[in-house]
Amino acid sequence: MILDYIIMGGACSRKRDQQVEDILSRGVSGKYSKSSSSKWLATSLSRSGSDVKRKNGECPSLMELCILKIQEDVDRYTKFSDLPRDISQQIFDELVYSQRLTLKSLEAFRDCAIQDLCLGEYPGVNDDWMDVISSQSTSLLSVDFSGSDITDSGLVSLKGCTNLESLNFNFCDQISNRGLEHLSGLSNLTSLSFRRNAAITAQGMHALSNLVNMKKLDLEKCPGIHGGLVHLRDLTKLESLNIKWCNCITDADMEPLSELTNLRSLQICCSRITDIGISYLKGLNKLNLLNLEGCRHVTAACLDTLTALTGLMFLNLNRCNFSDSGCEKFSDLINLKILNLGMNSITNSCLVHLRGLTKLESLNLDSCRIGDEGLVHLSGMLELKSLELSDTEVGSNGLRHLSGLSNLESINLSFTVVTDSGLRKLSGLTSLRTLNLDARHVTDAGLSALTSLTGLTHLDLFGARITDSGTNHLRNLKKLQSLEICGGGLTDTGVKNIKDLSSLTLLNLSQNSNLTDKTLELISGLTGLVSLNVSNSRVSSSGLRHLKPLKNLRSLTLESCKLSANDIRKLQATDLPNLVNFRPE
Amino acid sequence: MSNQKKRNFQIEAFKQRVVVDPKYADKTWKILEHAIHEIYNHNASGLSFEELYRNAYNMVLHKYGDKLYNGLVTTMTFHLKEICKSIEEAHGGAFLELINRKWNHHNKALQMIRDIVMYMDRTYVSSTKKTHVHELGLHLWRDNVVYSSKIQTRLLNTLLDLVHKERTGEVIDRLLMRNVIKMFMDLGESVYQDDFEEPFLEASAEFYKVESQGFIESCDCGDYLKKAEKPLVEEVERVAHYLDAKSEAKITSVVEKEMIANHVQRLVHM
Amino acid sequence: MRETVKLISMEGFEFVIDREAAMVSQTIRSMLTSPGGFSESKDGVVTFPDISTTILEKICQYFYWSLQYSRGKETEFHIEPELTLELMMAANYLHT
Repeated sequence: MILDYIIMGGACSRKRDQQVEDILSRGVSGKYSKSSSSKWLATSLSRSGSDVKRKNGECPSLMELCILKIQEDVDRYTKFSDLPRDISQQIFDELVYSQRLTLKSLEAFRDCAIQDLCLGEYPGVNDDWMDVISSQSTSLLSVDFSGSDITDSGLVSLKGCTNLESLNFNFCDQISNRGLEHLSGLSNLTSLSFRRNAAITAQGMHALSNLVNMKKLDLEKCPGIHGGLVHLRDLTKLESLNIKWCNCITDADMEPLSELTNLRSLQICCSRITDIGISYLKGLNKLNLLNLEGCRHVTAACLDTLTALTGLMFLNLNRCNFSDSGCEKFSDLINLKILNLGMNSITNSCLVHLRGLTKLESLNLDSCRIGDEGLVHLSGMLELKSLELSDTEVGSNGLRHLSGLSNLESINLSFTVVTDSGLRKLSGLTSLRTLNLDARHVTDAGLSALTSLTGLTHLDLFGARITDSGTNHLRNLKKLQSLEICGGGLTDTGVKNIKDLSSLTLLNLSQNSNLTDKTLELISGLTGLVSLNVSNSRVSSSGLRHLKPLKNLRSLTLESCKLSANDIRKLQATDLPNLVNFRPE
Repeated sequence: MSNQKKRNFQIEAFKQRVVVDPKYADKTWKILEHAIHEIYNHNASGLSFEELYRNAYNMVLHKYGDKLYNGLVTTMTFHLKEICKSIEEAHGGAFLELINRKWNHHNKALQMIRDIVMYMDRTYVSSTKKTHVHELGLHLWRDNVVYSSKIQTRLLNTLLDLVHKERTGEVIDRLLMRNVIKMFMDLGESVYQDDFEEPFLEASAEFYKVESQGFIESCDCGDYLKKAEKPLVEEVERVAHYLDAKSEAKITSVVEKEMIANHVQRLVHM
Repeated sequence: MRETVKLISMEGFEFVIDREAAMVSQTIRSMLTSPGGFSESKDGVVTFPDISTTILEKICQYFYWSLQYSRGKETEFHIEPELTLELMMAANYLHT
C-alpha cells in the first residue's frame, strides 16, 4: 500500500486527489518497514525504465511506434503545431517520460495547444521554458512545475493562460509573494500547490483571494503563512486544504476557515493550535478527513467540537496530547473508518469508548499505554483491516480478543511482549497480508502458528529470535514479497528454506553473523529481488558472483562484510545494471 | 561522418491542408447530415464509409467538433420524433410490434452513426466530457420515444395487460415481450426499474391479492398451500423468459407476501 | 481461400492485402463490418484520397508486422525518420 501511495503521489494530473491515500498510508503502514529504503525504492522505481510501460505483451500501435521514433531523435523536429493536439500531447508526454525533453526540443511544441504539461521534478526547467509553455495559451489546463527553477518573473507569462485549472509549484524555492501576484487573475484555477515555500507570507497570500473557484489548496511546509489564511475567507468552494508542517499556524488562523463549509479535507499537522482553534471548525459539516498529527496542544477536549462533524471518516490524532479524560466523546464518532491515536498517553480505559466504532477499518495505537485487557474492546470491530499495536504493553493474553477479526490484513506487534503462545491466536486470520513480529520473545516455536497464513506478503521478524529450525515454517508462505530475519540465529542451513520463496522482492538477513557465501549462492534463484541486505555476516568478495542472476536488484547492502565498495562496483558494471544504491559505497 | 550528416538533417513539418473556405464546416456537415437521413430512411446502401468518416474526422481536426456533435443531436432527434409519430398511429397489436421494429432499426442506425463519427467519440467527446454517442442515442430514444406523452402510459399498460393475460391462461408472444423489456434494460437499470419493474410489481401484488382471496374462501389449508405454490413457479418461469434476472427475488417476495404472509393467521386457524 | 481487401492510395495505387491484416486498423475494421451495407463492406475496396502511396505501403507493412507480433514474433518495426509525421497522421486517422 505504501508503494502504491508514493507512486500515485508522484503522478501529475488535473483530477487526482491523493490526500486520503496520504492519511491512510501514514495511519496504516507508516512503520511497516524500518529500512527507509522501501520509500526510496518506490520513488526510483516510478521513475525508472521506459521499458516497463510497454512490457505488457500487447502489440504497440503504429502511433506508439511513431512517437517512440520521434523521441529517439527529437532534435530533428522543428514544429509539431500542425499535428492534432492530442498527438502533440502524446509526444510531449513521451519525451518527459524518457527524459529526452530539452529546452531545444521544447521549441517544436510552440503553439501546439497542449492541455497538460507534467514537468514535475523534470531536470532543467527554468524561466527560459516559459515562452513555449505560455504559447499554449488558453488551451493550457494544467502545469506541474514542482522542483523547477522557475522564478517570480517567469510567472508573468502565465497571465495569458486564463483557462488554467491546476498549477503545481511544490519545492520551487525561487518563487515568492511577487510571483503569487501574477497568478491572481487566473480565476479558473481549481487546484494550486506550493509545498515547501519559505518565501510566501501572509501579505502575498492576498493574491489568492480572487481565485474563487479554488477547490484544492496545498501550502504544506510553508512556514511564513501565519495570518494569511484570512485571504481564503471567500474561497467558499474550497474542498481540500493542506497546511501541515507549517509550524506557524495558530488558533487565530483557524477562525477564517469557519465559513468554508465545503471543506472535506483539512490537514493541519504540527501546528500550534489548541482546542480553541479546533472549535472554529464545528460548522464544517462536510469534513470527512481531519489530520491533526503532531498538534501538541490539542487534547481530548477537542472532541466536543469533533463530535459535531458527523461525516468524519478519517481522523489522525497521532502525537497529540490526548489522555483518558474526555475520551468518552469518542463513542459519538460512529462513522470513523480510520483512526490514528498513536503516541498519545491513553490507556485501556480510553479503548472502552471506541468499542462502538464498528465501521473502523484502521486503528493505530502505536506506543499508547494500552495492554491486554484493553483489546477486548476491539473484538467487535469486524471491519478492521489494519491494527497497529507496536510498542505497547500488549502481550500474549490480549491476542485472543483479535482472533475473530477475520478481515484483518495487517497487524503490527513489534516491540511488544507477545510470546510464542500468543501467536496461535492469530493462526485463523487468513486474510492477513502484513505481519510485523519484530519482538524479542518470538522464537521458532511461535512461527509454527503462522503456517496457515499463506496469504502473507510481508513478514517482519527483524528482532525475533529465529534460528534455522524456525525457517521450516516459512516454506509454504509462497506469496511473501518481503522478509526480514535479523535476530542473529540464522545460518546457511536456514536459508535453504528461504531460497524457494520466489515472490520475494525484499530480503533482509543482516546481523546473522554466521551466514557465508553459501547464502548468496542459495538465494541466487530469487531473481525478483529488488533489495537485499546481508550486512554483518561472513559474506566475502568471492561470493558476490552468485548475485549475477539478480538482474532486478536495485539496492544491495553488505556492510561489515569481507568486501569493498569496489567489489560491488565491478559487479554493478558487469552484471547488475539496475543497481543504484549500495553499501559500502 | 554519417552521424554528423544525420544530425544536420531536419524533418519538415507535415503540411496539413489549411482550411480557407469559410463555408467548409457547413458544406461538410451537410454531407454528414444527408447521410444520417439516408441511414434512418433505410437508404444507406452504397454510401462510402470512408468519405463520411473522413469528413467527420476533418471537422474534428479543424475544431468543428461542437458543430458536429450538436448537429448529430438535432438530426437524430428529428428522426426519433418522426418515429414517435408513426408509433403513436399504430393500432392494437401493431403498437408493440412497431416499437420493437423501430427500436431495432434505431440501434442499427446508431451503430452506423457511431462508427462514422468514431474519431469525434474518441477525442472531442472525451475531452469535453460530453455523453458518448452510443449512450447519447439511448438517451434520445428514451426521452423522445419511450417518455413521449402518448406512448409512455400506453406502452406500460400494454405490457402489464399482456402479463395479466398470460396469468389468466392466454398465450402471448413471449419473444416480443422479451425484446421490448430488453429495451427497458438496455436503456439503463433505472429505466427498467422505475418505468417497468415497479409498476409491474404493484400490478402483481394487486392481482395476487384478489387471487388469494378467492382461493382462501374455497379451500382448506393443504389445498391452499398447493395452489399458492403454482404462481411462484409461474413467476420464476416468467422472469426466465422475459424479465431481468434480478427481478426474480422481488416478484417471488411479492407473491409470498400476498399468497402466504398476509394470510398466515387465517391459515393456522383453519 | 483467404479473404482479401483492396486499399487504394491517393495516387490510385492498389494494395491487395488479407482482410485480417487490414482489420488491425480500427477504422478499416469499422468500414468493413459496420451494418447497413456501406459500399466498402460490400465491395471490399477502400479508397484513401488523403493517404499517399508511400505511407499506405508502410501502413500495410505495419499491419502484417502487427499480426506477426501478436503471434509471438517480436521483431522491430523500422520507420524512416522522414515519414514519421505523415505516418502519424495516417495512424491517427486509421486508429492503429
